[in-house]
Amino acid sequence: MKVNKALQTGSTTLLILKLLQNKDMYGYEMIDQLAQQSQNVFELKAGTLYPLLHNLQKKGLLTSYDSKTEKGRVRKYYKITKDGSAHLAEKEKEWQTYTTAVNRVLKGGASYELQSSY
Amino acid sequence: MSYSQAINGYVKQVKSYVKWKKAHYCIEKELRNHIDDQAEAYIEQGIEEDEAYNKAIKSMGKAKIVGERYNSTYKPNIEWSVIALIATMFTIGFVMRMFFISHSDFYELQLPIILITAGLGSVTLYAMFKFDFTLLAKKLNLFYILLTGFTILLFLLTSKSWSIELVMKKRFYSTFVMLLYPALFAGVVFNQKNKGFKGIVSSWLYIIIPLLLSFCFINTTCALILLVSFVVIQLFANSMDWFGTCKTKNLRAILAIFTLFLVMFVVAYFINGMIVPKLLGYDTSEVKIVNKSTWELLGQSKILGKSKLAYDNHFPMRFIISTDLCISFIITNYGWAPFIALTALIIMFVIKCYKICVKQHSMFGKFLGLSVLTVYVLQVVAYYLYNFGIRIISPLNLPLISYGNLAVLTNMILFGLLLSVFKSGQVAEI
Repeated sequence: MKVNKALQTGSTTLLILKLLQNKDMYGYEMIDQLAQQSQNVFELKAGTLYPLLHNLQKKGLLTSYDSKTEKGRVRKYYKITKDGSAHLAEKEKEWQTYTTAVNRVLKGGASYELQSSY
Repeated sequence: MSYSQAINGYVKQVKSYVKWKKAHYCIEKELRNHIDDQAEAYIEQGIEEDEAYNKAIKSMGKAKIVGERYNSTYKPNIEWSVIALIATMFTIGFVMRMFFISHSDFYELQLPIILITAGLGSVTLYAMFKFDFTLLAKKLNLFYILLTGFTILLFLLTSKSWSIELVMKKRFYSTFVMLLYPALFAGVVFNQKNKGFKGIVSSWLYIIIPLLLSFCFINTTCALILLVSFVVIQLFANSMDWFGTCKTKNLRAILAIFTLFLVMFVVAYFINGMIVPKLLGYDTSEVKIVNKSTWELLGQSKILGKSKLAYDNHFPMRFIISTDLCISFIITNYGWAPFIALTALIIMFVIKCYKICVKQHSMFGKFLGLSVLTVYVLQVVAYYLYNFGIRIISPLNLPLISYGNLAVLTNMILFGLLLSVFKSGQVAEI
């Protein structure tokens, strides 16, 4: 199922940082992993990914380094920084709060009422 | 149309939407790598090479949209906070220079020179900011020859006859220009990537001429700055595994060669400090490494305000203070508080620039930025030591603050290069 782009925009940074938390990755690998892990819900284009990576690097959330492939081609790998990990933790919390709130509303405030009655 | 033509066409189209030309190389590399990766994945799935590449290009997205996104992201990075710090130091220096020459016989003569220097300094800073700093590594030998030629020419032009007295008087002009060498040393070290021990040894050859020149101009401070800045870049490069092979072996080699040069420096230091003054007939018995009268002077200084032992306020004393003793003058005449504020400004500048430097993606940008910062810090340290009565080496100048028109221009060139690194270090090809 395709998701509205507006919904995806705000969460792309979070998803990229999360991917890089586990291991350093190159551009294509990120797009591929994102598609696989989301069962093709998130199909990021290269034209969206690289400017985003550049911005995150500018903010000091990521660093990059070059590494040679088996075929001798140079690939640029991205690595999350300490600041990036801290930012990710903060964004994850924010996301949890947001999704919980959205879910509550979608469920007609049921869980909220249930909680507040205790 | 072959797939390679299709890739070229796509990349060209994307780049046409990106106004900042310096980012083109970086964008092209990124796009081509991505297309290759995507095509390889398709080929692994059993798709023919031609079709795989064409599919990969399609999956990139429309060239116009991709190009516009890149255009909104890739913009020259202007470090306004660093510019503000440079401007503040420059303004303090300008006010101090105006103060020192006021009410003197030199006022009318010096005023236009100081004003021209201020204007020329700003233009130089801007020109260097616009300059493609990667050229220093790409055309290293050309810049090396030009700088060496200019240093010697300047020395010859300012020495009217070949007497040692004139060498002593005019040497400082060439000395300041020589502070630009470390910017080229960054290129020297950069060009030795993966060359191991051989690269380390051959890079040291580049320091021989500048060192010989600084000894000829009888300035050991300049020689020490060149030597230390060179070893700092080499050590930093080695920490990044720049020379390849074994890091520990390389470190040993760097330190061994540095020690050798340091021994030569110490010998030259004693020749310059003991033998040359005697040849000139100066009495060196009064020269002491630790000047206790300076300590006494500083010890009497207040937190804020003029001390009883403040420096005389008349010429030519003022001129000597403005060149070599500006810090002592600030402390004795205005107190420790303005000195602390000035030092805090300098420290803030160094820390800020260092943090930005190490974040650069361009390795040459990192080397160049660090070499400029090293030259700056060493100038400050030499100046502070002298002002605090520790006179092991003579001061050159307190960058942008103490008197010295050529010194201001040289430092503006260095700071302009630093800003140029900050501007495009994220996208530079080297």
